[in-house]
Amino acid sequence: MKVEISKTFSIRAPISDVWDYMTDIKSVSSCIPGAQYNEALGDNKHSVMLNLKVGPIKSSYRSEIAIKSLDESNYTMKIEGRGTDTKGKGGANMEMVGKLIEKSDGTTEVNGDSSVTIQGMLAQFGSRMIEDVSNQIFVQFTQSLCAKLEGSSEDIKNSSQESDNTLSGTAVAGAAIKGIAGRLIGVLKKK
Amino acid sequence: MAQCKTSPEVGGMGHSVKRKEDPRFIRGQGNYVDDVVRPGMVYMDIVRSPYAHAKIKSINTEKALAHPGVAAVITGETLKEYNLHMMPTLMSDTQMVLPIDKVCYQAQEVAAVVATDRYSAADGVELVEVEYEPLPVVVDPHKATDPDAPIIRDDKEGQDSNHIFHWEAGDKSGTDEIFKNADVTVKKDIYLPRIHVASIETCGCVSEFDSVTGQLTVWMTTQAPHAIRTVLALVAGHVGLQEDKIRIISPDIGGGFGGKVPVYPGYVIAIAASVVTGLPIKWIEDRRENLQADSFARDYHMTCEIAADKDGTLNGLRIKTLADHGYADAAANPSKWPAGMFSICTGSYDFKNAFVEVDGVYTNKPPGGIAYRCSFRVTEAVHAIERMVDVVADELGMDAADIRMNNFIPKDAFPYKSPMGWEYDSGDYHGALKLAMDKIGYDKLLKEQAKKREKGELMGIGISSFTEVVGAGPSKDFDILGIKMFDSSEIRIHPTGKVIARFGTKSQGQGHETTYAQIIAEELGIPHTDVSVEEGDTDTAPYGLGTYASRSTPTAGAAAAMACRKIKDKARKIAAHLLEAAEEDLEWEVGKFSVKGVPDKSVTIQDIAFAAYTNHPQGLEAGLEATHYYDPPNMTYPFGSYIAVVDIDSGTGEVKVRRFLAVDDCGNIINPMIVEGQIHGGLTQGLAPSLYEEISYDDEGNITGGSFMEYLVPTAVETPNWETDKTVTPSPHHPLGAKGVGESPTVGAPPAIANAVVDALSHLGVRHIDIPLTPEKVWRAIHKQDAA
Repeated sequence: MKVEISKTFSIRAPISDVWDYMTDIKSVSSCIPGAQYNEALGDNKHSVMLNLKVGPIKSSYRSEIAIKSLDESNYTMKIEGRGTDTKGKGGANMEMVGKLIEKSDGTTEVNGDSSVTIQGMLAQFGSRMIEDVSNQIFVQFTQSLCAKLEGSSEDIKNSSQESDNTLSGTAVAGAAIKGIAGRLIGVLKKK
Repeated sequence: MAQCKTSPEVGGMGHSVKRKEDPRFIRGQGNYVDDVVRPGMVYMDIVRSPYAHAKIKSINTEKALAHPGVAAVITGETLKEYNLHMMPTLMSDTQMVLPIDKVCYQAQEVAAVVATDRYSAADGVELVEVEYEPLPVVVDPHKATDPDAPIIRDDKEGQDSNHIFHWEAGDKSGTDEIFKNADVTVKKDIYLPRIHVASIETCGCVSEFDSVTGQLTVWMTTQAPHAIRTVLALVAGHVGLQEDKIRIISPDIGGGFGGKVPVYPGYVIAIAASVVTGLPIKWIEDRRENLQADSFARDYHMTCEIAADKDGTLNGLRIKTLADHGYADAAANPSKWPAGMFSICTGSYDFKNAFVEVDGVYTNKPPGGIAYRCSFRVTEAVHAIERMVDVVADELGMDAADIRMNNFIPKDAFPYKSPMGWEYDSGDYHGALKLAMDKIGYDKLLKEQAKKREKGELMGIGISSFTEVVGAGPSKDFDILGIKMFDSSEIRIHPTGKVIARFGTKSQGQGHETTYAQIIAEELGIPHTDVSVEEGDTDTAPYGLGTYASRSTPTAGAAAAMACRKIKDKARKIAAHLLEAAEEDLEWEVGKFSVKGVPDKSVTIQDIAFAAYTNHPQGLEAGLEATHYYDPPNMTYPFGSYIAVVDIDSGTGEVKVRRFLAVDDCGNIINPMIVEGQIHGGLTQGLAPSLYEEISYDDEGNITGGSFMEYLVPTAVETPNWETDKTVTPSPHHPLGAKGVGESPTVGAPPAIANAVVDALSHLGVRHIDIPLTPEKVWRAIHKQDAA
């Protein structure tokens, strides 16, 4: 299955700081819940382990992240990721285009458009939850990223708890259920 | 039951005697494969592919083997040592038992773990580490033969595309000519999606090999035990399995519907593992494995056209079909017909000419095409014709019943030769539809519909007047792997007049133990309660091709009647001896021979049976038994007319089947209660694909309908109250005049429901919606949005 994810958020930090941080795979992976940076593979490629628990499925993805292009003049980057489950239960591929925009108030707007293709157990089982799971990962990622770049100690505390090592299954499932419930309530309200 | 020849005590044909098998099923005392326990038995579980198409780079079994209880991990490499990693399909194709270098569908078997208990086997499966390299997938059959499509079967020499076969039937130029000169032509694309039988019992086996005697015994969920034995002997003869030492036992089966015809890799792995290890091995699928990997049904993309006159006379029919077979052609058609009996598609109508063509293609999906009458493709044919007749009616503004009545093959035209060459044995299509219309109050329903339409309410009436073709089949046309499609019955009468009867078929819930006993009761006058019926053990039962395609009554049922008649011939000789009369002076009435004109001078069949062992005439062999292998002279052609009434919620698109009336004609009936039960079950299995069921795949070949969360099987809540009735048009060539009924309703019901839904929306310009008619598709049709 293919999931398209588009996200925009703002960080109270200068664009050059955000750019430097986000183009450093090692730093940025420390903000992704469940991600563990392994090593640089050379040629703009990096090895990252991603631990994910969705409902009953616990997966470890051995991933290769490649920076395909970096255009500092436009603050645009293109990243590709390929992950396979270490136990051979499936895999995922991701293509992401990220763009930073400098705002007049000194904050930086981050735009990310990703397309994720998922194969295997997760695609079969988790199809209803993937959107909410990815939202939750994203929320945790931005919190963590903001904390790092904006230097709020409270946020750092929160994010370090959440991104302990494995992305918390309960937290994700809880958030996913809330997400679904929220959509339902939204539908009811429209009526 | 005015027409019954026998008393209720004897319980021959026409009596609704209670099913003999039910007491054990109701009490939970059935004996299914998973109930079989052998001393020292170990368990097998299967590692399956998460990818639809991928190279296998490595399989690491170390961790699994280190797990307590795990005894062995079997891979394709293991089986290759015995040349058992590949196996032939019934369609002269090949399929993997376990892969060596690549997988071709999600959920494909990759390795098997053998352990001392089921839990350890499952744990072992989790610990087998397989490294894959994903390959591009072919999911859409329309793109399977594109020049840039990846070749799925690159293992097959000379296979340079994903095209499997082209097949055609009928008269192309004659049909084209009709279309050229037609007043009216209509054309529709009709897709029948992949579905699954989802039988209550999943598949599995217990395989036990005695290394001293070389005897292999396999308890197996199979509908065709004898064919399995022969296939095993043919494919595994080189490892020392010979047919006299192979015993296949098919115990109680919890639903087959064609899903238990194929030889699945799991069986072969379990058998191979038991032969190699000398241990009895049990393998039972779980529900997801069953849904995801076992034989599917349908997946036919049909482009259908009809040429008609302005008055609605149907003249020509053309259907071009793309058949998605998955990664191997593993159907179970009679060898001659790669698209089964799809050419029955002219249905109940007197077409002047017709032409059909089918192209089979490989895709990255499981193989199969057997379940639910799929190899015979009658459901597909009936859906196409019954939908298309309505499309013509809508085009011409005609009533759906009128157009059928005007085009039916008339009663006096039977035996009727169809433009495709089928010889329909008997039928009265006008009678069946008229009964259905009278019974449901068709005219009143039309008026109600008109009123509701004025109020903006959506109500539809759908008709399906189908013709089936069952009882495969005559040896001149029908074989599977060269084995002719006869079936058999062996009947022995004991000295006390009780009977053991064995058959080459295998009940999976059809009630053979009851109906076969009733046939014998009808023929010999022995009470059905005195007849024991046995099937499914290849060591004891006579050879037969098994139970599927509604063939048991047309073939093995006929064999029973013929064997009884042989017994009666001998009984007459013994009776003559006992009554001291000439054979030709004797006459038979139910259960006894008497001397013509002297009714008091008679002997019962029980007396004769006793004499056959105690006082048989000199020169005549002792005993009273016979075997018959019945080769049917023709197929039988059951038919029926179904009418569905639906109400649709225009806000949600939800379809509610308010009424459903089924008039079936399956010729002479053996047990009316069992027939009604089969019709109820079949109708529910017709409702299922109409409204709910579909095994779907995403663009990467992930199964998106692979569990009961997504694959919606109707329950009692969704199932309407089935109303049934019948007409009786006996088969002229079957010894009992019977035709077979098991699949008629699952074939006939879907177009009735689809026609009703389209009828409800026809005033909005809707002419066709593919099944399943989900609320989303129906809502989109109502709101003029393209179906998803």
